[in-house]
Amino acid sequence: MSTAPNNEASTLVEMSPTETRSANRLTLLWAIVMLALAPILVLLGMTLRGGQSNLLPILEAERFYSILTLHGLGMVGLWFVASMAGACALLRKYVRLHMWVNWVAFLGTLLGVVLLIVATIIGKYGAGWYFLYPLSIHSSGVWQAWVTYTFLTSIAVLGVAWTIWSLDALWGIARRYSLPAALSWHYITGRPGPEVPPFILIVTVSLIANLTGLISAVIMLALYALELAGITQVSDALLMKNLVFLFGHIIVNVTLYLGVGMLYELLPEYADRPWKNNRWVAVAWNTVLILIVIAYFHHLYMDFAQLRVVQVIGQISSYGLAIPSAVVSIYGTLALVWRARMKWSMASLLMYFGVLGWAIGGIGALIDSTIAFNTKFHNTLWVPGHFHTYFLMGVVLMILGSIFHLSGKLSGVPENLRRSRLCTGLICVGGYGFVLMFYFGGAMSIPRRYAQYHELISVGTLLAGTALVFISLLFVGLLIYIWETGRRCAVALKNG
Amino acid sequence: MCGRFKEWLISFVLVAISLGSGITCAQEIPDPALIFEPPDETSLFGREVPDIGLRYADGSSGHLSDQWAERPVFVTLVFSRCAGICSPYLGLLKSTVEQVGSSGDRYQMVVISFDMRDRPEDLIALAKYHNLENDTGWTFAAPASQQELTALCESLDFDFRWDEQRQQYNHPAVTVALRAGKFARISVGEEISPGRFKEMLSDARGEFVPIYPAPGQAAALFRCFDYDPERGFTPNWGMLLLIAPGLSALALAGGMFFAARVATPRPVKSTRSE
Repeated sequence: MSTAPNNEASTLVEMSPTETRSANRLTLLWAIVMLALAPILVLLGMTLRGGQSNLLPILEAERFYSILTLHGLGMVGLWFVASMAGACALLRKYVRLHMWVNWVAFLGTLLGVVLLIVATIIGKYGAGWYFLYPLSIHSSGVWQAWVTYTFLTSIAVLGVAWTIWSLDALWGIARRYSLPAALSWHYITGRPGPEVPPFILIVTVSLIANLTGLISAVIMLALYALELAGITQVSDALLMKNLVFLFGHIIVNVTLYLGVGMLYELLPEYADRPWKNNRWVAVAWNTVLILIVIAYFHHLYMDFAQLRVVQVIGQISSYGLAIPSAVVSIYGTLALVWRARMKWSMASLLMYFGVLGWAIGGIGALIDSTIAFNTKFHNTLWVPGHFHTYFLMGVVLMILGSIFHLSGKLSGVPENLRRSRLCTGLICVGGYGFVLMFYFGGAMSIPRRYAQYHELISVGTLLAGTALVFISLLFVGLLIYIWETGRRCAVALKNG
Repeated sequence: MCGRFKEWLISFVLVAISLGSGITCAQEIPDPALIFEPPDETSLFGREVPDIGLRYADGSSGHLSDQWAERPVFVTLVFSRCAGICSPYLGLLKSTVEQVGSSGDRYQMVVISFDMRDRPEDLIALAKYHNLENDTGWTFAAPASQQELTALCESLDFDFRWDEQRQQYNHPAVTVALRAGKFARISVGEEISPGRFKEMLSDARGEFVPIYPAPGQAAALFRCFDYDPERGFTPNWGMLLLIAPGLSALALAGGMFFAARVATPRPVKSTRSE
């Protein structure tokens, strides 16, 4: 048995016991919502693969796509709020955040999720997580008009809640650091300045980028509103696709970066070494801030109407975005762990394996962001392959590790290392087996988003069945995690 | 000067025919059996056109594939006895082709009669009327047999009806662009502008055509790009909507940090050594 180490630097912001209790309670509530929703969304994903494998009863196409929409948007939203909640919990060490804003974000998220579930499960909204125009508002009778309005309202509610949340976190940082300091420019120039933890740098970059994505969502929703209100007759499909991917790409990347930020903050506690800011860390994350806004062009390689120069920018910025942050962070992780007296608990193991998933999935993503490869892999199972790798086996593991750390710290419940290793092993074996089937499918040109595979590509059915076996292992691991973390959250809540 | 007068004359004739037919339509109830169905481009894409035998205006014979073997072809379906649209339409088409240029080099214009009564001398007369009899960029021909005519018309969804009362065919004015024997684009029922013709040619040559306006739809309020075959790409205001989020976020963040600096004293004292 061991407990999570508690040798972090002293809290810089003094909080009253009431404030601390209130903040901790909200963090635990976020964790409980995450623990409740995660297995449901995994089960939805298993239903999709089960339907494709013919091991489960065949899903009608409309149901398949509505589940796909909920699974995709639900997962993106769930892990974004989980990373934001985790980041805010750690951010309170350095800056003061408004509790009411966090409550608005919490309740807004719950409302948005309810509306999303209504639109997809009851209304059969099935336009996918990116809800590409014009399918998003022209259903051809598959779903009714109220479903479209419900879906767009859910996106608007979530967008507003998350914008307020991001602004509050940024305001908290702004009250403590100047913008050049928060972005660590003095580390780049070599001028004297305040000691800025890399966590603050990464969160600042992520929040500014996040605002970009959320503003693009606002513009997109405004264009939808103009068309639905009859003020405009039609929208430009290419513009709408650009806007939705500007939003979607950024929110997924921000989730990843916030997870990495937590890694920078928490992993040193297990290595018993500090992870300090330096010039290369500052350069890498400032590069991210510049390039994240234009890297999304790699989602539009197949859009023949997009200017060629824009496609080239997409490829160059994808490389420019991924390599500095990933190399600096992966190298930093390895340097931190190398010959350190590591305490390998569930939290540190999951965070460490999260970096592994980020690296592997990142390579898969870089391959797909290369135009020459994208012409082969676009819309094949390679795409879910790489994003499940860096998302599920990357940032999700980092977040799970961080939340396990926080729940352990707040509850004081000791860790059963044997169970932790079993849980981590099941998640890793199940997860990598699951994504491997996607990669095999991509290499064999099996298309993605097919409710059923034609006999010409029946190997897709076999791969889906195999994936289902692996994802079942992951699901068992997730249940163990939920048990372990859930009881810590319950104890922490009970102790107040 | 003579050419300009001819263009005016053709335009006048076209307008007169349109007005005349409009007045006639207003006066008479058209026989539903005589109303043709114009071809739908979307259902024609990629469709193979049969390699029919042709009787040329100069009396020789060959196949349609002889025409598309080296370059894309633009097939126009007319008949020499047409008292309506055929001749004015050919005149306008000739004018467009002259403006675009390169006929006989980058593409071939093929005028095919769908009236089996048309003989080579009828076709040469039609060509002469338009001063095209010696233009190598233009070929005038008729199908070798009724079956081949039917096969060609069916492959292009070309619908024409015989009007016993007028002793004329009711038919749409169409020009079809073919690439290696496959349908590429079609223009139905109106003058083809040089820009539109170039667009069809680009498609027929397998070149990249970036943007098509949605037919019959009002343009979107904001677009990323506009495309004109003459000018190429031009950015639209929609591009600003893609730049706006990034700039707004930076401005918002900058404003917040500035406001916080004004409102709050800096509590951070510790400095990093150089």
